[in-house]
Amino acid sequence: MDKQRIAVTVVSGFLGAGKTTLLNRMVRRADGSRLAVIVNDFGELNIDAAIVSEVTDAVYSLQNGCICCTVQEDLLAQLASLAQLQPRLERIVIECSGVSDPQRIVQTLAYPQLRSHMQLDMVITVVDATRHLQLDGEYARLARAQVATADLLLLNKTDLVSPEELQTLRIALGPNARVHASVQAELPDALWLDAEQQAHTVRPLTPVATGDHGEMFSSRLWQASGRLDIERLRAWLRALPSEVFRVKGLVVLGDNANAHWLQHVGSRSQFSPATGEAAAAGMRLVFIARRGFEGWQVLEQGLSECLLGAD
Amino acid sequence: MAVTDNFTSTHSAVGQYADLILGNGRIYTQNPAQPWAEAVAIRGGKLIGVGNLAELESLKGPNTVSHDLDGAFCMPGLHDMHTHPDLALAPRYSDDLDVGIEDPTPEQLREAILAYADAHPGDGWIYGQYWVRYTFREAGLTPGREWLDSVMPDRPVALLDRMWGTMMVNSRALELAGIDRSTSDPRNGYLERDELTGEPTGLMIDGAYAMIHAAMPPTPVSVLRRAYRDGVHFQSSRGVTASKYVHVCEQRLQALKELDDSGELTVRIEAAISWQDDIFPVRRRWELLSGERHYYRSARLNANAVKFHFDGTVEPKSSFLLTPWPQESSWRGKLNLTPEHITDMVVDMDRQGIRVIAHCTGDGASDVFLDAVAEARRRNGFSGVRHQCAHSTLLHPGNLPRFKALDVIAEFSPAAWYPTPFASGARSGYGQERLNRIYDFKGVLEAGGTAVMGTDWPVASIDPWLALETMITRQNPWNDDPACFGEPISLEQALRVITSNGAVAMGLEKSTGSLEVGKSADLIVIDRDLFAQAPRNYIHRTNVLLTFVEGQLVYDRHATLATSGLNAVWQGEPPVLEGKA
Repeated sequence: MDKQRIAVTVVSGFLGAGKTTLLNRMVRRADGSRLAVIVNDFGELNIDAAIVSEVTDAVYSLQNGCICCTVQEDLLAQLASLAQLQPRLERIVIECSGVSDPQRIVQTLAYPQLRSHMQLDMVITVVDATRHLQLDGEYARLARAQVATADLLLLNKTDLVSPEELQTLRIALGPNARVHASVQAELPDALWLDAEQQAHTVRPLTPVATGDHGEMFSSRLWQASGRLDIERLRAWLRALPSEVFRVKGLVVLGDNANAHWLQHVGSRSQFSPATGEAAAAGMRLVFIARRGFEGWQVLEQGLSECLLGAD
Repeated sequence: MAVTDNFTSTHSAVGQYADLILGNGRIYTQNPAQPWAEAVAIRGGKLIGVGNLAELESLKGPNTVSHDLDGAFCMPGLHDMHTHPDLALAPRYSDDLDVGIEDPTPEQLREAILAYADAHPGDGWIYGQYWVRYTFREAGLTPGREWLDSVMPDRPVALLDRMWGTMMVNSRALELAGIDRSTSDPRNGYLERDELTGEPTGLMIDGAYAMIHAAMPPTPVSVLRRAYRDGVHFQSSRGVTASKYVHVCEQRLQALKELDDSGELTVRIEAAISWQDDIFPVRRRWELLSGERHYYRSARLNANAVKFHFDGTVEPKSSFLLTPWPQESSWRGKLNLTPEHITDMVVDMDRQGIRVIAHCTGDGASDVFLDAVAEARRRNGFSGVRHQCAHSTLLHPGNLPRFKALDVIAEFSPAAWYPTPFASGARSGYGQERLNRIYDFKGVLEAGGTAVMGTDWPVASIDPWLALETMITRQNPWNDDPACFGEPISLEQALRVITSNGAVAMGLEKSTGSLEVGKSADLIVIDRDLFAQAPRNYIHRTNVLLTFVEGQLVYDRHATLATSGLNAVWQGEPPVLEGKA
C-alpha cells in the first residue's frame, strides 16, 4: 500500500456509545507498532484520557473543547508535528468528541500541508444500539452526520436490544452502510488494520481466514496486467455491495497508464499516485468482505469489464 | 455634516452669544482643572462657556435657547473604539438565499434554489445558506459542482454548509472566479479536487471561500447603508459620540458617506480599511490607502486607518502566544503575517499618516506589533499617529510600559472581560494563570498608557454601558455571582477610558473627550448620577436622555427640546438590535 503516508483512523460516535472501549482495544492491539492516539474529551474532568493513558504513552490528549469545531488549527499543527516523528508512525487514531461532526476532521486531513504525510484510512462511527433511535433535535442531526461520514459503522451494545429493534436500526442506517455488529466495541483487525499485509500470507484467489475473526470475514486477491478505464472503474466502485468492506491495492489507469494506489472503504474511494516500480508487478487488489459473501464472481466479472480493450 | 455648510475658518464671522445654554446640571467635565460644572454654553458647535449659570449669563442673547437640565447628570460623549455594525447587520438585511430548513435534503435544496432563481430572475449570483453533507450521503449523492450544475447550470451558485466549513459552488461560479485545475490552494484552506484529474469538485474548504467571494458582486451600498444607519442610531441613543468602524472597503465608505451627506451620520467615525481580504474583498485598496480615502473626509468621517489581523482567536487556539498553550508542548498559535511583513507595513503606513489597528489577541502578537511600532518610530520619528493594539486580550507584563513609551493605544474588547457561560468556557482555554491577567486595563493605565474600550459587536454587545459597568466590576452584570475576571479599575478611570482616552485614540484630544471651553460640544445627558450607587447592576441600566455631537442635538429621548425648536435626528427608545442589551 501507499507506504509513504501515515494511515489515519478517525473514531466518532455519540457520548457513551463505546468509543473509549474501542480506543483501548485499538491501543492494545497495536502494541509494538507505531501508533499515536489523539484523544478528545468533552468537559473538564478528562476521565477518558486518564483511562487511556494507563495503556500507553503514545496518547495525545486535547483536554478542552472539541477537535472538530473548536481546535481545528491546533489539530492541524499537532498532526503536522506527529508526521515528523522518528521512527515514523504507522498509524494515527483520532477520537472525535461525542458531540461533533467528524467531517471537520476529515476536511482537516485533506489540507495540502498534511496530504503528503498522511492519508485518511477510515472513519469508524460507533453507534449505540440502545440509544441511537431515541436521540432527537440537534443530537439526532449530529448522530446522522456521524453515521453519514462513516466508512464503517460499529453497531455496539447489540446484546441489549431485541432482534426486532436491531432490524429497525439496520434499516434506519441505510442500505449502503457497512455495518458490523458488536457487544463490547470489538473491532476485528481485518476491518481496520492493513488489509494487504494480511493478504500477503495467502495465495491468490483462495479464500482464507483473516486472523482472530476469521469466521466473520474473508479476503481475496485480484491480479491482472493491463489498464483500467477510469470512468468504468468509478462506476464499478460505486456499485460495490455493502458486504464488501474494503478494496485496497494498485491499479493502472487510463490511456496514459498511470499507476495509482486505490483505497476503497465503505463507499469512499481514494486514489494516490504510485511509482512505476510499484506498478511493475502489475495490478493487484485485495478485497475484504463479510464471510459468506457470494458475489465474488460478479465482482471479478465487473472488474475485468473495466479493463481497457475488454469491450 | 450639519444641515448647512456652516464651516468656520480663521476669518469666519462669529456671533456674540451662545446658541444654546444647558443649565442646572450635574456636569462631570473630565477636565482636571474644573472637574464639575452646572452649566455649559454652546456656539457654532463649540463650548464657549463651562461653569455656573451666573457666569454664563453674559453669553445669553435674544436668540439663545436655554434648557434646564433639572439636576441631570451630564458628561462627555462615549467612545466605542472598535465595532462592526455592518458585519452584524448587513447579513440580516441582504436578500440572499436562505433555505430555511435545518438539514434540507438535496431535493429540498434544489427546490429552494429554483424558487430563489424564479423570484430573482436574470443571470446574477445565487448566494446563500445552508446545506448539510449528511443528507447528500443519505441520498447516495455527492455534493459539488456536478450536482449543482444539474440544478442550475447557467447562473453562478455558491452555498455555505451549516458547519461553515465548506462552500459548494457550480461550474459557472468556478469559471467566474477563474478557478480551474491549475489554481493553487490558499494557505488557510483548499479546493477539494478529483484525485485523478485534479479538477476542482466545487467544494471549497475553509479559507478557499474567499476566492469565490472575490468574484461576487460586493454587498450593495444600500444594504450597508441601512446597517450603518441602524448602528449609528443605536450608538447615538446610547450616548456614543465617536466610534471606530474597523474593517471597511470602498462600498462601506460609500455607504458611510451617503449617511454623512444626508445628515444621519450622528457619530464621529474613524473607518479602518481592511489590509487583508479575509472578511470581505477590498477592491482598489491601494487607491484608497494612497489618497482616495480623503474623498470621504468630513468632521464626522475619516478613513485614515488600516486594520490588520495579526493573529487568530482563543477558541481555536490560534491566538499567537509567547509560550505554548496549556496542555501543548509546542503549539503557540499562529501569526497570520510574517514579522517582516508586519514591520514594513507599519513603517509604511506610519509614514503616510495612517493609523494601524492591529488585531492582537495573544501576547506574542502584541509583542511583534510593539516591535514593529518601535521600528517605525526609529525610522520615521514620531509621526503623530498613535497606532492601536486591538483587543489586547493578553499582554506580556514587560509590554505594559511600552504603550506609553511608543505612544500606542491599548484597546480592550469586553467580549469576555467578565464571567458569563460563553466567556468562562471560551476564555478558559488560556489557562488559569493567563486568565488572571486577561484584558489588563489596570496594568496599562498604571504604566501611564492610554487604554480604550471597543465593544467589537457582534462578538460582544454593542451597548457601551455594559462595557463601562463591567470595566469597573469585572463581574457578571446580570446576577450576583462573585466570580471576577482580571483586575477591576475605578469609576473615574473607567470614565476616562470611555471619554478622553477615546478622544486620544481618535486623534481628537484637542477637540473632544472633555468639556472645556474651545472644545467641541460632544456631550450627553443621562438619567442617573453614576457616582450615586455601587456600579454593579446600576450603570448598565443607564438611559441616555440627550446626545450632542458638535453642538448638534442628535438624540432626544423624550423630545424635550423640540418645543425650543431643536429637533433631534433620533428620538424615542433606542432601536433593538440585539436579543439581550
